[in-house]
Amino acid sequence: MANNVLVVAEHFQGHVTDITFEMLGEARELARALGGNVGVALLGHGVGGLVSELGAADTVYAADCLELREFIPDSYAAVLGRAIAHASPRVILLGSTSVGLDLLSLLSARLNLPCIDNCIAVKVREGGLVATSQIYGGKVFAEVLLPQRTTLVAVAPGTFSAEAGKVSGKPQVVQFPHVLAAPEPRTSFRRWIEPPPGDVDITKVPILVSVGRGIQNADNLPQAEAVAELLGGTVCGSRPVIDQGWLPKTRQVGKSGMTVKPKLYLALGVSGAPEHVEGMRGAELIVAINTDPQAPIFSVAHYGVVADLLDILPSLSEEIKGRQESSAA
Amino acid sequence: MNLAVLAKQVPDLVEGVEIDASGKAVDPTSIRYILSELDDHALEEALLLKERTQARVEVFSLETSEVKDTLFTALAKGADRVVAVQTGLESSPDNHTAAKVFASALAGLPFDLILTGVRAIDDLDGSLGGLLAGYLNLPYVGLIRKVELAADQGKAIVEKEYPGGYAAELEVQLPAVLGIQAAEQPPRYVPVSRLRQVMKTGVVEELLTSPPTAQPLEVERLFKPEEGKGATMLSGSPEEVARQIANLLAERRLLR
Amino acid sequence: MEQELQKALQNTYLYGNPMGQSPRKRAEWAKTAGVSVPVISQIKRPVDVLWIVECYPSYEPRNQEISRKLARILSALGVDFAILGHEERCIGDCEWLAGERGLFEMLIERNIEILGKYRFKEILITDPHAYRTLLNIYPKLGGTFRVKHYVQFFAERLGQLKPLLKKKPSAAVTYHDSCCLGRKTGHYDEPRALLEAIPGVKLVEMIQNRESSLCCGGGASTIYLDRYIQERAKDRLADRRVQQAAATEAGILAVACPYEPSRFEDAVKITGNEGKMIVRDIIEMLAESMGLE
Repeated sequence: MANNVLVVAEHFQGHVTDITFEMLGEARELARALGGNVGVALLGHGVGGLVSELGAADTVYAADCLELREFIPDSYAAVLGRAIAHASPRVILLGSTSVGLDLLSLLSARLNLPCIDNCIAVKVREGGLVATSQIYGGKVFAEVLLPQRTTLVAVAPGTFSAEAGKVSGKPQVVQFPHVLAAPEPRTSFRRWIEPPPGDVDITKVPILVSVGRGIQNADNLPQAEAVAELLGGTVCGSRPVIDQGWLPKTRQVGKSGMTVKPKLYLALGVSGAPEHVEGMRGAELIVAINTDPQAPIFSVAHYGVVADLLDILPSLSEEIKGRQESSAA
Repeated sequence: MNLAVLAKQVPDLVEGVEIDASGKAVDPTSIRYILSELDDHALEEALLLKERTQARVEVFSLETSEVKDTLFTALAKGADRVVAVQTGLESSPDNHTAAKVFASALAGLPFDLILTGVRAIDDLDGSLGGLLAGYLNLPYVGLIRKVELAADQGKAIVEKEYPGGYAAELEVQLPAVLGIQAAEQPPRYVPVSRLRQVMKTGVVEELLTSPPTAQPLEVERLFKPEEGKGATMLSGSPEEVARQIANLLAERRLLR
Repeated sequence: MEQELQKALQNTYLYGNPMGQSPRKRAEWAKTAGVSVPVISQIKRPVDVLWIVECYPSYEPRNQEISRKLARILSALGVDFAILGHEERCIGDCEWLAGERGLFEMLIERNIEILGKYRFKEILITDPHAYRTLLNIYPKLGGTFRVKHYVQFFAERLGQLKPLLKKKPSAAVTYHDSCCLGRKTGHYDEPRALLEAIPGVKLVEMIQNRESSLCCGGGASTIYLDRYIQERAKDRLADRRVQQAAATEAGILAVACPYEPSRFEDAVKITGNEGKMIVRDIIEMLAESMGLE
């Protein structure tokens, strides 16, 4: 086992996704501390053009063929197994995503490698590597001493800076065997299902008023909508609100929804579980209102209020209206 | 068609979670256990498949305290058989250990599909479903929001969630393992009277297995983020708070 | 089943309240009451009055304020009382009327068991729905208690209460007879007696009052079916009721039920009566008059 770090790249619709850059940036730090190199595994079809974006790595392990055009967990896991054997890394970084999470578990079981999920930090320390994970909806952090062998680490999206991974360079490209052992894969891709055409693309709205379970019922939505309207923004929500049918899917922020980076993200009654936070932590100004002083949202917000949003919203509307009226006068 | 659902008990966050004196584990006395939310979705999806295809649904849980409540609830909702798997382990094991237990318990049983929640709030070491699929050498797809069985063709058509509201439709050969993110409808309600009736007449079977060799991750310490750390906390009456928030917005020219 | 109602029932099953709040926090409201609110399991002695606070008055912020004021009034009157604290669970009115017989029986059995541990002369309760359930239904399942709604309790102590009522209200008052306190249990006179004991109260009646009072639309678990009803009914009962109140030209709509303040305050805004009418529970009016804020 060498002291290298291997990143499993992700791409979507012809572009390398941010999680890949976040991992690459972190991989460089980690590899430096370990005294090793950064490798990145790039699987797909016709993805040669993406190699130039992966300059942060020293080596690209590429497997380019039709069978790998779309992500199929078993097929990707089989091919990655060979890349891992080739690169013999100390740490394998994957995204805690639709792609990475499946691979984390399959690879761990198939290759008998230890794995850890939801990581927000991996540090070299006397005695080894320590990973920090968030569990219990972000309410508890676990510091784990990683075993002294190749370990799979799934990283929470949005934790590290994507900018740090967007370095230009000319990594060495190693093509490795992609022919799948089984001629007929047991899982095959049929088609993409696009999100329903939405009223608003919330990723383009600069002011977002987000509602979580704390809104309690759909009856209270108009109050949030009123504030959004006053500010010239749009209402969005966390998964539970969308699952209840109070807002359409296009307004969902978080893991299977949108990632937004607005100027203002007003989080009302949103607990701040990691699945949601990964979709909004890049917002310029995050103000959170929640009745639970231990809500994880307060760790990511810039300003917080422990209160019932239903108590604050009427006063907030009044205050904003008042200022707008006097400035118009 | 035979469907298996793997269900796990997790701490109920409504009651809060406290860290014990050692600082390395959660204090069990502070905890109330409930069924993991996504396992509830896995059960719901299985029951929907049962309604559509007359499949048989069996629910398996590792034996821990309060697991009987969950298993009786599954029976009351329509599961055909529920099993508490005895491991002889003292506390709730990590997913690798749990996957090994289920692998040995389910190996050789004629299940066409094994469903379980794709993640649970206390997961540290990956998804149970993916690990189990790896050990049993079965196909696996996680983050599933819809399952359609094409039993005569020995296949399932599934929808896998991606960010931005996208989903991939995949075809999976059976037998397979699926990690469920959401059932096609919210988990159904069981009237308490039905539950109490099932508790009197229903049976939770027991399955004995020997504990596998476990190599759990070494947790050095558990800690909570400092309350409100990160956010500058505002306080006062609603009017005062509103004024402070409006000031913040005005400073950044966000008030038009 | 409508999701909101399902959630309320599931929460009641797990946590003893439809909001899904931790039972351990059921008495949190009492910490800022300003007076001592004894918990019977801690004081370990019989009391005259066991005050069953119930779910909304324990957890819902608008109602928590009312609970605090009630605690202060009881203290000012020197009443020997205690609450159940974290042992308290929903009395079960909503569950009974939503048809969840099994859940209701489970709650009753448990509540009767808990109540059986303690000795008290009577139960005091502010929620008319729970009052009616304790009065009429619990005895059928083996739990017979002397139970009083606060309007009865204070009406009985009017002689002691009246001298303490000093301040005048800001406007004329009209009173809404809630279904459970009115039609179901016949308490029309006590709330009026309490209001008229406040100096300067001018009580005006709405066009539908006493037996003909209009339901606010929130009892019997329909409070969890608001969205369902809204999609199907022409106008909300609460809005109609507030318009009747506005027609009396009273500035204060007095109520004696925990569901009312929020429902009617919303309706005041929706019907455009903001600034012309406020909603107050009788407890709040008594506390204000006694200077106990």
